[in-house]
Amino acid sequence: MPNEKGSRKIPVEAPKTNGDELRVIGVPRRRVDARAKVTGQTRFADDIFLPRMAHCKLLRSPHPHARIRKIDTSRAAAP
Amino acid sequence: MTTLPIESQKSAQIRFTLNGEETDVSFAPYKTLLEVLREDLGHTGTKHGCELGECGACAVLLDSKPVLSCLVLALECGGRQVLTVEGLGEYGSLHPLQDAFADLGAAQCGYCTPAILVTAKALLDLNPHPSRDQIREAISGNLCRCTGYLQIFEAVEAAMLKIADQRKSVTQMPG
Repeated sequence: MPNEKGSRKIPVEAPKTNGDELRVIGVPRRRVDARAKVTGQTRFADDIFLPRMAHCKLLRSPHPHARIRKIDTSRAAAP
Repeated sequence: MTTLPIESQKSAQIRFTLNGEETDVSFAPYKTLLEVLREDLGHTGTKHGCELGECGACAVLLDSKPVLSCLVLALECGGRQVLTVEGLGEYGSLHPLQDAFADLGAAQCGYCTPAILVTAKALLDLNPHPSRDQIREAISGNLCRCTGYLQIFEAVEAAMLKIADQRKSVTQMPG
């Protein structure tokens, strides 16, 4: 159940001032981008596909301390 | 070594149900379900994380069960049902899980959110009243580096109550 042990207190009622309910202060507000985030519509860098896009690949050294003499990029070269 | 142009690599073809819709897709046969969803079908809601089955960001429901789409070959999915975050809400309205995640701050950067949403849906479909520990276990394969998980557990619990309320009001409706 919400608000069980180990949970934050989620305010249920809006605080009042002079009998009027506050609409922003003390009231949980949805983030402006929340809807896009929960529907998968948010565009992350990896989600952008453009024509003629170049791709890169991170090649990590298998050696902790070594001098790079050459890197064989032939398999990565565009046909 | 010459490489075939990308279009002629699309030698595999399957028909499956994606988010309730019959879908035909052609793709290179070595591709994973994740790659086909994102690259060949343009459904980028499902995220590409580690590609090793460690982070859970690519989870989708395959025949109602959560799977890591980076470890499933698309060729295995012919004739099967796939549900992604894009298929969660109905008719432009959000699924109660999506509502709760948005309201309770369970989606921060949002990268893990689509996978956690579908994983939580699979849990609630199977067990409409999971305990905190059962939720924790169901989500344990999905890494989230923002929230610390508390908001996610709370949101799943809030959605669980809302779904139960909706069911109650449907069964009480006269006629």
